[in-house]
Amino acid sequence: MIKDIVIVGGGTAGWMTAAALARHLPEQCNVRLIESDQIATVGVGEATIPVIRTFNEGLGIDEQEFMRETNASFKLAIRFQNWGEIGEDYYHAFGFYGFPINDVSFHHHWMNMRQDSDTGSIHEYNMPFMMSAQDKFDHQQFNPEAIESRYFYAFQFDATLYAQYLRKWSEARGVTRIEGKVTEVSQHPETGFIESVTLESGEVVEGELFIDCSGFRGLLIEQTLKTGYKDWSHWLPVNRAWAVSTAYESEDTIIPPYTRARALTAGWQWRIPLQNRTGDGNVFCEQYLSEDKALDQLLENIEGQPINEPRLLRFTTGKRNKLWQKNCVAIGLSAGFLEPLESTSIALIQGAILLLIRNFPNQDFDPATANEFNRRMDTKYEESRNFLILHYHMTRRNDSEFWNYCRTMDIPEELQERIDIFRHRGHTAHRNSDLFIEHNWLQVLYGQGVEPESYDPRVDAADPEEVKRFLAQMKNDVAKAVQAMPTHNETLAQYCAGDLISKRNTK
Amino acid sequence: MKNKEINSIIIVGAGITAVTVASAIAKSLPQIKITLVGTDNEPSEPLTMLPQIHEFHRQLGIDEKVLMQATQATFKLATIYQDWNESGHRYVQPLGPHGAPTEFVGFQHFATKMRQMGDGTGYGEYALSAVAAENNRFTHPQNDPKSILSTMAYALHIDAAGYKQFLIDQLLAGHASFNTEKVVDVSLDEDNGFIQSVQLANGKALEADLFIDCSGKDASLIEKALGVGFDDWSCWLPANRVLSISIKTKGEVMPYTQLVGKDKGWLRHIPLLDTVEREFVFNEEEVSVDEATEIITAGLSPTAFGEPVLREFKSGQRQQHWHKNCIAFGAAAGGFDPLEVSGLQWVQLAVQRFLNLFPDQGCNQTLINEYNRLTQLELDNIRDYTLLHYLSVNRKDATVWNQWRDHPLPESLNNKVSLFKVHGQTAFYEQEIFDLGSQVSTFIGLDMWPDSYDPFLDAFEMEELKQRFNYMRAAIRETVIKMPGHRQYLEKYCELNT
Repeated sequence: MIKDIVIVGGGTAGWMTAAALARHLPEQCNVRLIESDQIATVGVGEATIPVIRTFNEGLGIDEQEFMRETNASFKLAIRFQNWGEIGEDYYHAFGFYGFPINDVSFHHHWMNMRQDSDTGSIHEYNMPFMMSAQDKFDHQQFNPEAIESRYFYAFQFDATLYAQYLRKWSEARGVTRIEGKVTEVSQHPETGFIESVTLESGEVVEGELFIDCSGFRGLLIEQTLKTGYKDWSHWLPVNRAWAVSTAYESEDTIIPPYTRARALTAGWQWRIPLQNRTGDGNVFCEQYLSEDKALDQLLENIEGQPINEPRLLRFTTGKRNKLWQKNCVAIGLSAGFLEPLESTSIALIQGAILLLIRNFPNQDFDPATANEFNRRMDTKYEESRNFLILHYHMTRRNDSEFWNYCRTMDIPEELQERIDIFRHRGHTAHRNSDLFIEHNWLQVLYGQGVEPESYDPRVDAADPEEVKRFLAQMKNDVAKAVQAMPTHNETLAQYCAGDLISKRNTK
Repeated sequence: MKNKEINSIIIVGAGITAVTVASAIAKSLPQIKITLVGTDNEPSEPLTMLPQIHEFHRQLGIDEKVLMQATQATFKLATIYQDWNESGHRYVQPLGPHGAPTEFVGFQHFATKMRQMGDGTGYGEYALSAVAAENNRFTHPQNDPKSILSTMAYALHIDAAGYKQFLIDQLLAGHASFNTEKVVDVSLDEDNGFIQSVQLANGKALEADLFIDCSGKDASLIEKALGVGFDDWSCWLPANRVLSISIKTKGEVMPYTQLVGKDKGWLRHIPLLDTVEREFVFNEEEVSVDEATEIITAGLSPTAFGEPVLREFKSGQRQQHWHKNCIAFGAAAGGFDPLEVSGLQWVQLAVQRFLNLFPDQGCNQTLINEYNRLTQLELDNIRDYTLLHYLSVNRKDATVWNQWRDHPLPESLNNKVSLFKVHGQTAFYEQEIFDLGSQVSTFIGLDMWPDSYDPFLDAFEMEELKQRFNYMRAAIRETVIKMPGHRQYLEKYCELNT
């Protein structure tokens, strides 16, 4: 079997891969990770989606310890401001709308009952939405039977600290870190397989399987293997991001249990609240807004004082034609970059690691294994891409050329079909995606102002009085449960305080 | 623009397919007027179902016990393949899982490694449903994940005629009407090509908002009226006839379906309470009905069985299952060898999907496209899974076994086979009916063992694993010994007077 695995590049992708391989590979395998202190990691992916917990649990990581060490906060939602139209505001929250009734999803019943003044907004039936709106968080396990715990959570953390945490974890389990910059890559003269990489120091590191976590440049997958890149910037035109860290204004500042994404004139601005600071950034399209102006826009829109120099990232949205080519697997930014709007970066890293482990190659690198890996990863990237495009395309904004472009651009056929089905009948035409399922699509479709013309006719078979009682009960249960919850700040103080701005609430 | 909702449906056909579709719609959408037109032209058929039937019954509010009491149904834990790849080859395809996965490593890898180390234990010994099936035992599974009985999975064997009557009595009485006149013509709307009405032999015309084609191989609406074509898969799957007889039995009842390979086709045995239905599946160009009758009655006393019944089928699928305001189910929509999936099982899955995308009078094209996309993917997967069963068969001559060799395999199947061969991993596609474990168990049962196993396995201590496996098999055996016999269980559960 393959014994020598070389990971090129540290950062979130590199150390997540190293940790997972150290956890699952037999002892006789040798996992080495090459990184250079001279190369800064991007470390932008500070917000995650709930699948991250499966990854951490798989490693056996203690959640409280991990949250303390990475200054993590809980994340229940992304709050989208000014997306459908300036002044609009919605949450994409990690949880369901109510319960299905007679096997028909809740939102169809809600659409049927919405004329009734008691019915209220659909969000009142969504636990994490209501928690987010009141900055509450309680640490509960998901329970599909009880409406007050029908939610998932993720984290907002310092990605650099997360990489350090995983580095410590991996090194304790036998992963060797090699300090140095790769200057040369040697390939087999006939097969083109990568045989070794040479470092600046002259050290030659040989391996059987190479994992490219070198970031945007794709040192192995692109510079060496010339795999090629699918450019998706006609659908996702943003191509620059300014990132900065910001101090909280005071000890009492509310730490929201969500990431904020506020649409601006040529892109959007993120605000990711950690325990001790926020991460802020302006993602924009340089064709519509200059880099200088974008920086001004970022600094105008942050709430506290910047605590570091703003950094500029340049990227092209898209993905590598093949993530696995010969004996090289690209994971992380070397594999592709969509954009951070739905926090998919870390989830895609995790998906790639899991698939690699499930389809771990033999020395003969049978193409069937790589083909299956590539087929599955293509689907994951395309589904995430379509979900992202939805946010840009389904807007009514006409206040800038950027939004005019997004609103009127052609979109992938699959996405158009999904939007059309929703518009017609309120179905989300859910596909085999593991990242975003019905409730995710519903929240964004409703949030962006897409309204179905009709609902599932099966709701008419239910007794309206009974449905009404059921709705009232659900709404009441949600409101009561949220009311009784501690604030997010309180829960952080009690559960996992690292460098938390205020520890006063510690009991 | 919002169209009116559907108020009336005409279903052409009156057999088990039509009744199943009508029952599901009547349950979910009681406001719709349903009329079934024509006579039952589907020959009676024993049904061997999959565990998905439980969900269908739950949605229809069907009580399993009441159904079984009314239909002579029996429990199904597995399919046993006998003389399949060649004479003497045998394997069990259980409806429940094998062994238990450890960490990220699927159980098949452990079995592969043990086998490579010379261990000859049958893969089926690690599946509770398989061992119970082989010992003619049955008990209902339990939900508690800590109990070994949570690894049982089962379905039912049912007689189609009894099932049909049960559905009519329970779900259609008062909710649908039957018109036994034959459909002689169909009128289309000149503007949009939608079906407007069907003309009956007695001169009357019946109008409806939506038309459902359950006319079987006639495909009288979807093909004859609307001209939708059929993709023929007989280049891979040439079997097209089933001859069946009903054999009286007494005593023990098999809780499994049995398939037996023969030179020119294969036999299937489906146990009902007091009969075993025996069928022979073959290609009509290769085997005459007389020859098939000889094969199927070999060794039986002439008084032991009833009149043979011949059914036709054709492997392939409709290019559009749903076109305009007409949707086809059953043989009018597609067909495949009755190996692991019975045609009616597929009808149940398809009608549930249709209800999830139920249209208004405009039959919006986006709903139609989504339904057709999902249904075609599902049938492609059924085709691949069916075809897989022939790939390792070593029988000379007969086209039923060998015709696929002359044609390139579907790419999706090729991917699955080559991926599994490398080290026992399975490629999973959208709309699979069979979970990974079932697919793995088929590969292994057919002796298509992978060349190697998951390299992560080398992290485990083999001696410890062997002990764990011995323990697993012992626990399964002990559990099975304590189970009642299948007939005994049926008598008690169904409160039969004996």
